[in-house]
Amino acid sequence: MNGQVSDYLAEDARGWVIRLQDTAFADWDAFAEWLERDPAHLPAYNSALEADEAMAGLFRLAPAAAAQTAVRPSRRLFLISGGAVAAALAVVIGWTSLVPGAKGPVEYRTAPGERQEFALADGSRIVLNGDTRVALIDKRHAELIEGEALFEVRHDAARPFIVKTGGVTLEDAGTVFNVVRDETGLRVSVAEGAVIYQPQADAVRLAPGDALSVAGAGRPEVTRTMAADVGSWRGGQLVYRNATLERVAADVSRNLGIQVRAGKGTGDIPFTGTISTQGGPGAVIERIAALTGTRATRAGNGWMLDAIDGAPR
Amino acid sequence: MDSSSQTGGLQRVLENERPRLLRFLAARGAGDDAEDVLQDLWHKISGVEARPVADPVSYLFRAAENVLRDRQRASLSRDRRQHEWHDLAGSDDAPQGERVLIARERLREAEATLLALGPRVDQIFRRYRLDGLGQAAIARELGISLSSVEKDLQKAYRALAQLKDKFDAE
Repeated sequence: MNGQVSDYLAEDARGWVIRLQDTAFADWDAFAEWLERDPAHLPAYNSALEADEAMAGLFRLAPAAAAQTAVRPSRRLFLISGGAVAAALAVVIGWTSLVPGAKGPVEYRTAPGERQEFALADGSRIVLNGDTRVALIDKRHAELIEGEALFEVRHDAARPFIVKTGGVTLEDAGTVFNVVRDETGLRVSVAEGAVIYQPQADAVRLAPGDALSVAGAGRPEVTRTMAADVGSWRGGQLVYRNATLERVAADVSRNLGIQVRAGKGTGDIPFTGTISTQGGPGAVIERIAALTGTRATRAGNGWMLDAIDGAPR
Repeated sequence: MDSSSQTGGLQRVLENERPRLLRFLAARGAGDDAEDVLQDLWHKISGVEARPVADPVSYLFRAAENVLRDRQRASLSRDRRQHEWHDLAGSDDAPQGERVLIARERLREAEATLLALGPRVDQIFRRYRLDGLGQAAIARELGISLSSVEKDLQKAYRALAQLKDKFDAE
């Protein structure tokens, strides 16, 4: 019984079981020597071998069960109807192996204030703003895990480019579009072509200049923006129309790599205008405070924007 | 190189390595069967189609280990009239649905156990034990050191062995 094998010996025996499974293993004499050194070694080895074979056998038993339980509950839930279910499951299963160079999803990640751009094999491009994580599931399928990214997609009607984010599916229809997923919710804006939001459900078609936003679990809301302003963050411009300060603060944090928060009482100050992110964090913060009618104070490592009494409402 | 000369080559290596192989088989618990195992092995390698073997000596040791395991497994199932817990899926005693349910529940527990050790341990175990990738290849794939791969494998196998003890006690 295993109970009779000391932990130390059991560990040694498992070590041999593991090493022998490597096709490159060649140290058979050392293995024989170890077995000969103590009569307890052979039973310990056999016991480790039996445990290994039994457990590995389990993994081969029921692949269907494996597929269900590989979904980690803390992860986002993909809820897609019909034939897309299999694909979505595959995505979730593959999730544990986000390794560059490995088969399966590759994750790209930027630090706050950083920018990264990468090209796909078909000529499509994805530009990551700061503090952003994008997983490339395959060459026509990406997931925005958090942050902001601009997608310039080579359109292929037979194989639409899919962006998933927080349970939402976006399908391109010939497109340059920008997606933000942060604590304020989801925002999608289209510069060229069209994007279909939730093709299997709401199927909202977004044309150039359309901006869709979803806050929390709320309904999607479509507003108008300037198509030319979509993705303008790349040129150092943040363009707003009736935006909350919370959203401005989240954008600035991501773009500059400094933490900016909107204080109490700023929730109902709508902001319309353009903020340049050039000239260093201090200058940008000053500019924002002036433009939004708030007072900027240092708070910990970052900045806090507070309402000034008597500010225009 | 034609088929007969390749297998002939392997058989020649077996003859050369006979003392080492016998010592290995004795240490491995073959007892009086050691010569029989080598005889089995001899027939096996004369039956295989010729294909290049990178390291014929290591190939023979591994083949000897496999022959021995097959024989030990066969004698084990002859001796035991009771079904092992891991034979649930192959047992005729329990109804099909129940067998599958138990196996799935155990699989679910095994997967949860691996994931609790972290996604990297889980991934390394699967690549190594289920996909059959070598440790060096996994280290390259993940960009980590060989000793990190070894340590993670030890963690995974240890946890699964403990889980098996728990299943046995159920």
